[in-house]
Amino acid sequence: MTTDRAVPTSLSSAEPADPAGAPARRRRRALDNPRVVALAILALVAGLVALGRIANRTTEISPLLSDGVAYALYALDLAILAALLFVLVRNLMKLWFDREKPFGRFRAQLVAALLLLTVIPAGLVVITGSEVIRSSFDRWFSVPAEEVLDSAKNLAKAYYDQRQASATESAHRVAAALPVAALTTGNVGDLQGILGGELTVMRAAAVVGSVEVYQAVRTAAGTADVALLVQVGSATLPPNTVRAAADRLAARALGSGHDEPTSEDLDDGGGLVRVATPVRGADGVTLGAVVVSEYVPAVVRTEQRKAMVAFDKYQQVKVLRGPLQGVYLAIYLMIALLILISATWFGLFMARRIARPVQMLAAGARAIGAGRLDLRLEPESTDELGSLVESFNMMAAELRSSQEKLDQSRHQLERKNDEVDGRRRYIETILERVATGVLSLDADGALLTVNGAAERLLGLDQTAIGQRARDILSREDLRPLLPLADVLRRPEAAGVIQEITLARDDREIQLAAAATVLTGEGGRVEGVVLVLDDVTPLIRAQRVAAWRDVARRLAHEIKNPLTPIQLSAERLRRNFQTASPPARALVDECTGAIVTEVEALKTLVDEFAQFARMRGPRAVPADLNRLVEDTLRLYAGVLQQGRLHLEPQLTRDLPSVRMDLEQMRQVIINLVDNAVEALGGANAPERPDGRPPTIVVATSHDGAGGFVRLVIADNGPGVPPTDRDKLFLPYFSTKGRGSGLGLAIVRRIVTEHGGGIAVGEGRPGTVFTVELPAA
Amino acid sequence: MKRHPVLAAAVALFLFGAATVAAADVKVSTLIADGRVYTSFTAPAAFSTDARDVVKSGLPLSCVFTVELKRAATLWFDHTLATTTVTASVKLDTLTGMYQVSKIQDDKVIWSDRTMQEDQMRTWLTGFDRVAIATPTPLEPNAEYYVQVTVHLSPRRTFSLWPLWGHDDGSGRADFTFIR
Repeated sequence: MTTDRAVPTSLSSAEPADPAGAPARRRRRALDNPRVVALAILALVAGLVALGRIANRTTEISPLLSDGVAYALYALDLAILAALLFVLVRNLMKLWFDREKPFGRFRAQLVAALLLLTVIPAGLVVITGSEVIRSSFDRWFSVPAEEVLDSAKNLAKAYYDQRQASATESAHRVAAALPVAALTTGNVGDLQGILGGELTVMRAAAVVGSVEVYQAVRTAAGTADVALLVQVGSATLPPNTVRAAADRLAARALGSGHDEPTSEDLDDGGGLVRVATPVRGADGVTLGAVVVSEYVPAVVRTEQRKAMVAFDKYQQVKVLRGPLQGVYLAIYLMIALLILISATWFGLFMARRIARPVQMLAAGARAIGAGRLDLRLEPESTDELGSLVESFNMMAAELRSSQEKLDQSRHQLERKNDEVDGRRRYIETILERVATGVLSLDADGALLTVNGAAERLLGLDQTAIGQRARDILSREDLRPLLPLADVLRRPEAAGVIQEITLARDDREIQLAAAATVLTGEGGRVEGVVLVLDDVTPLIRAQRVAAWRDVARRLAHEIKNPLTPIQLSAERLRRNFQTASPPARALVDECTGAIVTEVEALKTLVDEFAQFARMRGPRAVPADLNRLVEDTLRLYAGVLQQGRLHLEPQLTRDLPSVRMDLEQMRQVIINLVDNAVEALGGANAPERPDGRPPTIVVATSHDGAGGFVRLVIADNGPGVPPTDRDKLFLPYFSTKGRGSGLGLAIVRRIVTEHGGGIAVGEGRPGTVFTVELPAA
Repeated sequence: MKRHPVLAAAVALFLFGAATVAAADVKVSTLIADGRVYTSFTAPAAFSTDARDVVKSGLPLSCVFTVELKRAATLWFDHTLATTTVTASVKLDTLTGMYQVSKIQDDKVIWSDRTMQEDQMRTWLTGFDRVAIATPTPLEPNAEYYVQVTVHLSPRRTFSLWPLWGHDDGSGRADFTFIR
C-alpha cells in the first residue's frame, strides 16, 4: 500500500500570517543578527577608546579640540540619533499598521513594555550624565584651584621679573660705565675692569651670570651687525651656555634701540635670563650693546616651569571650556546614544524574538488545524523558544504519523468494507438469482431477508420483511411451513429438514425445506435461515423416468406374447372355418375381438416403446413460422368442410431456432390435435358464447428473454386447474382414452430443445405456450 | 512679485548674500603688477576678545586667511580662478610675556618675529601684505574680477553644532578690472 506523502513545507517568520505558502525561508536581516550588531557596537566602542588613548597621550589639548574632531563627534552623534529615531519610528509605525494582524497587539504591547524598560533608563542616564559633566566642569574651575595656580604663577613670574630687573639694572649700569672710546677703539683692557667690577657686584648679590660687550660694526653689504668685544662670566656658570643667543639678542637691541629681554633654557635644566641694552654715544648714536645674563638654577627653573605650565594648562582649559565641554558632551552623548540605540534594538530584538516564534507557532497551529500536517517550522534559535518550536515540530510530526496510520487503517477498513460489501452484494445476487428460496429470521422470529425465489415460491413481497414469520406463515397456503419457523422455540434441534407440499394457485409445489438455527458466541440464538428448494420438476422428472422404465418393461413384457396370441387367434379362426356356422360365427367374433385388442395393445405398446426409446433431437437452424405454416397446411383438407377455424397469427422476421423439424412438427400436431379434440372435432358446434370454435396458432419473439414463443390457444372448455400440472405426466388424459403420452412426449421434446412449455387458462379455453431459445 | 514668488525668493536670497558680503570686516586691497595679482588685507576685528583670551592662556592661535580670486557669474555661482591660504600664528610665552608671531604660506614660514607689545602682535597677526595669487591661466583683459578673503581663527572658544554656521570669523572682498 502506498500513501501520498506531501513534501514537508517549512514556515519561517517570513510567513506567519500566511502559513499556506511555501513560502521560501527568508534570509535574516543583518540588523536581526546579534553578532553583527554586537560587532558594530564593539567597533564603535573601540574607536572611542582609541580616541581617548590618543587624547591622553597628547600633551596639548588642541588635537582634541580641533574642529574636525568636534564636528566628527557631533556628526556621529547626529547620525546615531537619526538611526535611533529611524529605528524607533519605523518599528512604531510597523507596530501601528500591524496592530490588526494576528498577534499584532501582543507584539505591540511586548515592544512597548521592553522599550519602556530600556529607553527610559537610558534616557535618564543621558540626562543625568550631561548634568554630571556640567557640574564636573564647574568644579574643575573652582575659585580655590584658580587662586592656587595664580599664586604659583605669580611667584614664578615675580622671580623671573626680579631676575630680569636685576639683569636690566646690571646692563644699564655697565652701559653707563663703559667709556665710549673703548667701544669705538675696541680697547678691551678698559672694558674688562668695568666688567670685572660688575661681576663682583653680581657675586655679592649671589647672582651667577655673565656680561658681554658688543661693538656695532658695518658688514660688507652695509648692514648693521655686532662684534663681541669682551666677555666675562662667573666661574660657576655652566660652560654650555650658547653665545649665539647673546649675539642675536645684542643685534636685536642694537636694531631696536631699546632693551631686549629673553629667557633661555640650558641643558642642565637651568636657564639664563638675558637682557641686552644698547650703548649710545654722546650724539645718541648706538655704538654697541651690553648683554647681561643671570643664571637661574635648575631647581628653581624646573619649579618655575612647572608652575607656569600648570597655570597655562589651567588657563587653556578655562579658555576652551566651552568647546571642551562640547567635546566631552559629544563623546558622552555618543556613548549614551549607543547605549540607547543598543537598548532600543535589544528591546525590539527581544520583542521580535519572543513574538515571532509565538506568531509562527500560532500560524503553524492554524495551518495544522487546516490539515497541513506536513508543516515544519524553522527554529531561529536554540534556546527555550527554539525548543518550543522543535516540540511543535515533533507534535506536528506525531500528528502526521498518527494521521497516516489513521489513513492507512481507514483505507484498510474501507477496502475490507468494500470487500464485505462486494461479498454481500455477490451473495445477495446469488441469493436473488438462485432457484432456492432463502429466508432469514432474527432471534425474535421477524423476517430479515426474503430472496426472489422465496418470494416467487411463497407469494411474498418485500413488505413481508420485518414482520413476524409466524404471522406470514400462518397464511392458509403457507401453513405447512409453520413448523420451520417454530424451530426458534426449540433451538436445541439446531435444524429441521422436511419435504413439504404447498398448494398454491391451484397447483402443488413440492418443497425440500431446511431450517437452520444460527448461533453466535456462547450458543446464543441469533436467528434462523430457512431454505426452500422447489423439487417439483425433479419429482416430475423422476416420475417420467419411472414411467419410461415402466413403459420399456411393459413394451418388452407385453409385446412379446401379443404376436403368438394374435397368431393363435388367427389359427383358431382358420381351424373353425369348417365348423358349423354358429360355432364359426362365435369363433370369428372371439378371434376378431382378440385380434382387434391385440392390435390395440400393439399400438399401445408401440407408443410406449416410442416414449421409452425416443431419440434425441437433431437440431438445425430453422424458421419456426415456416414449420408452423407447413404443419397447419396438413389440416387444410380436414378442417375445410368443418366449422372449426384454424387461425395462424405469425409474427414476421422471427429469428431462427435450432430445432429438430420432425420432432417440433410432432409437437405442433399434438397440440393442435388436442385443441381440435377439446373443441369437439372438425365439425364441432359453435361455442356456448356463440362464437365459432377457433384454434389460434401464434408466434412471437421475446428479445429480452432471447427466445421464440409459440402459442396454441383454443376457446374450448379448458382444463381444470388441478389437472394442469398433471397434463404433461405420462398416462394422464382428460379424454378417457388414448395412452396419455401425447403431452408427455411434447414436453420431453420441448425440454430437450432447451425450451419450456406451460399451460394456461384462456378466455375461455386453454392456452399452451412453448418457448424455444433463439439461435 | 506676487506673480513670480520663486523669482522674488531668489532676489531676496541674492540681496541677503550681498548684504552679508557688504558687512565684511576684512579690508582687502589688490595690486596688479606684471600680470600678477597681489593682495593685502587686514582684519583687526577678527582678533576678538575670545581670541585674546586664547592667546593669553598660552595656547597658540592661528589666523587662517583663505584668499580666492573669483570672477562673477550672472546665473550661477561665481567662478573661483585661484585659491591660496596663508596663516598667521602667535604663541605667548606667559613667563616672559613675549609674543612669538610667524606667518606661513604654502607650508613655509615666510616671516617670524617677536614682541612684547600686544598691539604690535595684533597688527602682525591680522594683516598680510602683498600676498601673491598664482593663476593657472592669464587673466582676461578688461574683465571684472574680485578677491575674496575669509579669516578663520583656531582654536575657538565658541562652538557651533555645524561647521557651515559661523565658521568664518570675517571676510572681505575687493573688486578690480584687469586692464593690460
